[in-house]
Amino acid sequence: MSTKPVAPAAGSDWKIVGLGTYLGHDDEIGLALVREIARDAAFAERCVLLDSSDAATIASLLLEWLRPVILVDAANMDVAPGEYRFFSDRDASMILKTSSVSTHGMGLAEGLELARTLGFDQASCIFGVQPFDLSPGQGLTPEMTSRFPSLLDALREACSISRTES
Amino acid sequence: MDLKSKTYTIDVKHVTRVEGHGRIIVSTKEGVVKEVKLAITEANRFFENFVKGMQPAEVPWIVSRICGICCVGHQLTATKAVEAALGIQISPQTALLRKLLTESQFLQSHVLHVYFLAVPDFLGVKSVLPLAKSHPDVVKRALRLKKLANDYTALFGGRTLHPMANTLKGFRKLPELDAVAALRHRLLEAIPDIEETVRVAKTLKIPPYERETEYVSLKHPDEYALYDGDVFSSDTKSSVPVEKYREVTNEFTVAHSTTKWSKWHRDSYFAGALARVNNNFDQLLPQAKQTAEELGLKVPCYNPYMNNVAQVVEVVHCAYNSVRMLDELLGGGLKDEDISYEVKAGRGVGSCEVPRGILFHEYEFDSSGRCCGANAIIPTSQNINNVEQDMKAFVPKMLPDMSKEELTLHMEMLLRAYDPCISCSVHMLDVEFVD
Repeated sequence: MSTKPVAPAAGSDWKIVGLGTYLGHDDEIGLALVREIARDAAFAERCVLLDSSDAATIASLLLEWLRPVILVDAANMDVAPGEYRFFSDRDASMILKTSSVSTHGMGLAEGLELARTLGFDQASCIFGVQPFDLSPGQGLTPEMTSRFPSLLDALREACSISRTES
Repeated sequence: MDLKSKTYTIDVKHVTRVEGHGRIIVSTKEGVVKEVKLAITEANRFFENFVKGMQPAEVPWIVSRICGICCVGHQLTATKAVEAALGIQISPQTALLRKLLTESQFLQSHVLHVYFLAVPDFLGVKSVLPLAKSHPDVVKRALRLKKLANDYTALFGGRTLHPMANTLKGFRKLPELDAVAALRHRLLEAIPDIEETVRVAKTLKIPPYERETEYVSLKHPDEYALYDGDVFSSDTKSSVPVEKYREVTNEFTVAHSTTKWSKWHRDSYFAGALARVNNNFDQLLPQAKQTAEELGLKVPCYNPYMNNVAQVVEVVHCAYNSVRMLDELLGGGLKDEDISYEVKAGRGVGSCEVPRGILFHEYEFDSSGRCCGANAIIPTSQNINNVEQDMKAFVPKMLPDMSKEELTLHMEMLLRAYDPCISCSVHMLDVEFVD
């Protein structure tokens, strides 16, 4: 886990994927950040927003693209709210509840695992943001909104690295 | 094992691969069943209160959020109820577009249910993740079919989840005919995947337990009823109009469930794919009838585990029927329609079949167009009573031949055969880092 971008593989063509939902306050952070990144024409074609997507959708898209991805999402990382971390799905030990998993409970971690099992062999980098509040409701919390510019700078830097090397 | 040594307490506190929170309790003493309960501990949702005060067009979009899988069904059922309240008539074009949306949802949901929730049981794995390791081709096929069905919903609904194109009296945005033709082509290309799905279903060893019950579904004189019809009972062989749905559901409460239960002509009834196939078999397309024959589904079928097989039959029906409807749409073209309407006081009921069974919505509006009353009775609550009756009937039959673990699995499989439903709310990634 690092606050520095995970260096993408040279020659790659990274997709930038925003995940989350618009109905859980800071659960929107991934969508909001990537929506902002997509305003830059240089990134627009590489950006994808997946609102409320389940594991099956994430897995099938990863298998369809077969391209390296930066996945941007709210993540519970036991760090202070508003902080971000970059990590690779290969380096992080995700809590995969394989003994009790349901499609109700299957999210990004299981979607990635499913895609890896089925042949997704590309690099992936997760940009996780610790939320302040995930209770039902629209809009980022004021605290997250105030952090938004710095989060955007960090993500943009990572995307620029991946663009430079692509 | 000697039956008298069978003193069990099975308490599955959180049944997996179902939507929400359910608990199965089975207690036996010296081979005698003492207690069988299916406890539903899900908290109330309050959607019927959320919509009070809202304008008519807002209601269907809000209540689609009741369920992430059946969002199309909730939206269309609510749309029909609101239209009935306001006296709005729809065009044949709108009816056709809604039927297409309905069948896209059936394909999405049944593929997910059969492959992700039911098949792991039959192949002896805990979930789809180990299934992807042991049977990667099966899971890849499931993902392909799910993606196709998602795109199908998005084409007509505007997006995959909680569509926004459908509204009162019509559609706010119509699909491009080129995209409709492309979807038709993709559906035809997917037929081999659907045929392979049938072959997989044929290999599944369905538990051979039967209990006759009442089967309740929509019935329509001209078609296999999914979008429209009257409420049909297999007991009386007759239908009642959807406006009389309260005489069908007869909701009541039990101490061990927060979900209201239902019963009609006997202690409980079955809603869902098996009920539809039992009640409307003659109206299935020939390819679906042939699939039923291949899979050993003969109507009337009283084995609830066969609900998964009935879902596969409906996948075949919906795939071919969708192609037929797309041909009709491409032949007639699409035109923009007037979707304005007048607000007035009124009360209306709507009903559709959703993948897990018959769904009822009712709304009332005051003279200013504000919603002042709402009621939604979903298939899960209609089915829970019947699941428990099945459990009570099957446990004594299973007990002599099954270990505690086998019995537990069969109870969970039974519940999953009925109604594992997804309703995603918070999207959150839990991560544990390794130093």
